[in-house]
Amino acid sequence: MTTTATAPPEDKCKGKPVRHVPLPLIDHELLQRTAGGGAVWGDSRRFRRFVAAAEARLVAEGTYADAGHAPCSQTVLLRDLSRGGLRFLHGAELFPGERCGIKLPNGSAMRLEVMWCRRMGAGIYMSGCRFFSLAAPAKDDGRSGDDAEVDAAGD
Amino acid sequence: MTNESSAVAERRGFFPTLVTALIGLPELRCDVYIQPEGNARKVLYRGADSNLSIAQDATLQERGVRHLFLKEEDRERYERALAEASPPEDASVMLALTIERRRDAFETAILGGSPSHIVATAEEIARDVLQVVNHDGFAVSEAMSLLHHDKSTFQHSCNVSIYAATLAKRLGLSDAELTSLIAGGMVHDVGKRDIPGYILRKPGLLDARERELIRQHPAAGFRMVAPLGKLTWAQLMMVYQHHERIDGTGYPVGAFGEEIHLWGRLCAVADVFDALTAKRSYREPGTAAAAIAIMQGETGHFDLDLLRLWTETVT
Repeated sequence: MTTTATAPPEDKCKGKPVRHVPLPLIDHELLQRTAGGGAVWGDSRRFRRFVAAAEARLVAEGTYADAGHAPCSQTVLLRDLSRGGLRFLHGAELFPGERCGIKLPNGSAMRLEVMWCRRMGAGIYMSGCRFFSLAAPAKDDGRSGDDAEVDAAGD
Repeated sequence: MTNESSAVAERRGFFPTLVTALIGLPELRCDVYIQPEGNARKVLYRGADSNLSIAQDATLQERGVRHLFLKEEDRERYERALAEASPPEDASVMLALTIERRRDAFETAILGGSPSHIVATAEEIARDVLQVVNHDGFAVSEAMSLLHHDKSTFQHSCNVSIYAATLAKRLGLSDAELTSLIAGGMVHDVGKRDIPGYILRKPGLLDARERELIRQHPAAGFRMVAPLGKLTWAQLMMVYQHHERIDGTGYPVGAFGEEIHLWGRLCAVADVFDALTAKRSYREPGTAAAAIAIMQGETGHFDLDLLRLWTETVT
């Protein structure tokens, strides 16, 4: 996976400290239900998705702060990732178009745009995000790199 | 009547206007047409020089006539009269004038305007609608005969705004908040503009693909207007959360209880009430009482306190 030279996210947004939301308790059933799959026969997604089950630190960039939506940082649990984006479980709702920084377990930092968010239980959400500061990845199946959005957004 | 024959006028086309709006335009001098039930052809109701007062013609109401028609060539004169009309004393006339003044501008914005233009138009309409909602003589139960006459985007958005504002007023929201809420109601379905019209107008059951397209409209609308930075979070939640259900089975997120913003919950009540009372191609408008009965039977859909308050308001 390619990484950018972006600085690692801090628990600050526009210079101001933000509330941190810890990872909620997640039961075994939900873990199983949201486990990311590898490539499946017939899967039309642009990029193969890889199982991931590590914690990462996400900091919202305050995309909608001017509208009155306070950004926060949160610990998230990755479920799968691809070259186009990733999915994770987390404790505070995210909104479409929100931009966030994420620091992955390998130390790399990336910027994400939220494509969708679903409530999975009390205080638990799952979101799909796309990487948006990466250059378009090399083509490996003849389709445009822009399709990464579709891959990351897919449920 | 003018010299032009009615046959020529028929070819050139007519546009409909609310009877109640014409009552508020006594100075308007142009031929007014009526379309008798079961007759495709419009006939002259009142000539331009006639002194017949529409307000005093009880037969229109008795026959259930809500629209009269003007010739397209008189549109400019009609729009000028709308713009220059002095504020009427009657709340229904005020509402009808607001609808007639704003319908075309909003429909044009929704069809081809930029998201900024849609929001700006919604804000202009909000100021007019607030005057109606704040009118001493305004009663939503009486206004319904004006509000459910068609299912255009404008009419649905306008109705949802009026219903939500009427409900919010009972919760004690200030005029500034009500104006903001009305503007939010006007754009709550903005995400539907990318859905093909044949799906929105389909009278029968939707297939899975069509249902999925419909389910995307709250998030699509949010993505369209949120980046503009012109709407408050509460207004954005009207766009994003008006199909959420209090029991967590709604969409797009499945938000539960008070995770749904108050304005999102208000919008949900207003939205469903309007859907149930609006005219459809396959049925006549439902009554307020019937709509409330259905909504009360929808366990887990609505905020019960808001539904109770709404029931008191309309029945």
